[in-house]
Amino acid sequence: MSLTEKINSVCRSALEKGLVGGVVTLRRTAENAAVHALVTKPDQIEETDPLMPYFPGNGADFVKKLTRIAPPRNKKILVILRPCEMRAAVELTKLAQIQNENIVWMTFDCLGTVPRKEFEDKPIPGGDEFYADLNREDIRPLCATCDFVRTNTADIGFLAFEDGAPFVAYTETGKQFLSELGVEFSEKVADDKFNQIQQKRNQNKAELYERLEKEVKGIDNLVKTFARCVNCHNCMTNCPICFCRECFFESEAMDFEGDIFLDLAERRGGLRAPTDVGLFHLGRMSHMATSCVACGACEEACPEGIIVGQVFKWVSENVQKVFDYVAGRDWEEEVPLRTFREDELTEVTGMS
Amino acid sequence: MADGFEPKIVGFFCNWCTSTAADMAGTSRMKYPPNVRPIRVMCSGSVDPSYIIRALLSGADAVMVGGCHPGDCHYISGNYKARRRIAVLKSIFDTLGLEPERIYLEWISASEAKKFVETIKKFTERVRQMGPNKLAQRWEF
Repeated sequence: MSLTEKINSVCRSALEKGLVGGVVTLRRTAENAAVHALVTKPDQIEETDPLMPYFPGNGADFVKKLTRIAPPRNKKILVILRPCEMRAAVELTKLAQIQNENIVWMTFDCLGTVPRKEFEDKPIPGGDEFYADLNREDIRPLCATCDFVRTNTADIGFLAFEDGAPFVAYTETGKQFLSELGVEFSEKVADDKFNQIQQKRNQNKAELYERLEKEVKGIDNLVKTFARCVNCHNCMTNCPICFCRECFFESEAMDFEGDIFLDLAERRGGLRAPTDVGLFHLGRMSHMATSCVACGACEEACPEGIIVGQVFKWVSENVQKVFDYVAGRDWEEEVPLRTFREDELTEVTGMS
Repeated sequence: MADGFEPKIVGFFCNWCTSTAADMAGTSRMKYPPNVRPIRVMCSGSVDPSYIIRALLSGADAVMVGGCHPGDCHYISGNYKARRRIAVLKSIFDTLGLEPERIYLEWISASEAKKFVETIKKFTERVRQMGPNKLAQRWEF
């Protein structure tokens, strides 16, 4: 059985047996396009392909949509997400944006995705075709430098890299679910191929950060990096963590009287349109860097090709280190900006 | 005006402590440099990092946030939250090479007029030595 069919057959029989009322996974809308979709009928599973190398946006965002007002009460939903999406789902749950009830979470070893613009005029390969070569490099920069090609926060993992591609149950829910379906699963997590691939990603990340130190650090570099920004806020709209219903950077607080704009232009050597590009990016970082999972939804959404996801990953990793936190690593660790300790960060006060 | 750089410092001062300390310094006729532009806020925890960024982008050479000593917050824990937010902001500025030293958080209670004066003196001198804030001079950003 192929990798895709292995997952799909689980989805199909879970729907057939009524274990879940729906499945969230990737479904083609055209040869060269796919979206996250909720499917409810076994015969729709033919069109789904969870492993396809395509990132239409962070799937956790969709789960937020499905559960924000109320989670499903009568039936469960099986949600299949990439590790970066799973980690965003953990963050959103902790931030009270996802109601994690009646959801069965499944993740898989992720080989990454190809930039969407590569598929403007060619079909997206299926997951099986893509996973045939585990050493491929034609993936998004955020995927090539990924910290989590595997995560264990779901109920079920699919170890797509390993021999025999076993399922593994990380939780009681996962165990029960797979047992009821009569699907074989392992309790032990194999990690031979995973380790190799993760190591390569880590190496790439070290190289990326070295490059960013040289090419993005400092005001001159930063101005250049964001020079083409049109302030469309696509990065923010597509960010799973930016959940505010009303954004400060789109509020009246960005508008001033003409005299004040003249004043600003006088002081700053002119005034750029659209205004407040620097404020938007630095401000957005200060709001969401503690929970950034480096999925790169922002970078995929940027119409100007700004390496915004790579910069945010780099900045966020350092921010999270301050709190010994890694976004989405764990269900229990508190989100840094929702808590505090009395005896911490004493070095933050005072003149440094 | 040769070598006459006078730093502009925006201060976000908590109503219950640092603002009162500033008042006390004034009514006690204690002298301190006029470089600070105080903004009274209800709590250091109400200062969103984006206010600080906006000040630094709009011409401030530095930003000082003044809050109540740990344990003394009028709203129980606003100052602890402020400390986390400023830790986040300083980390961002540090990674991006944007002079995190221009962001300064200090605890000054309502009775510490003297500490307020000393702090303003010291910080003004510090910023004077740092020179003008380059972030405020880039119209493209």
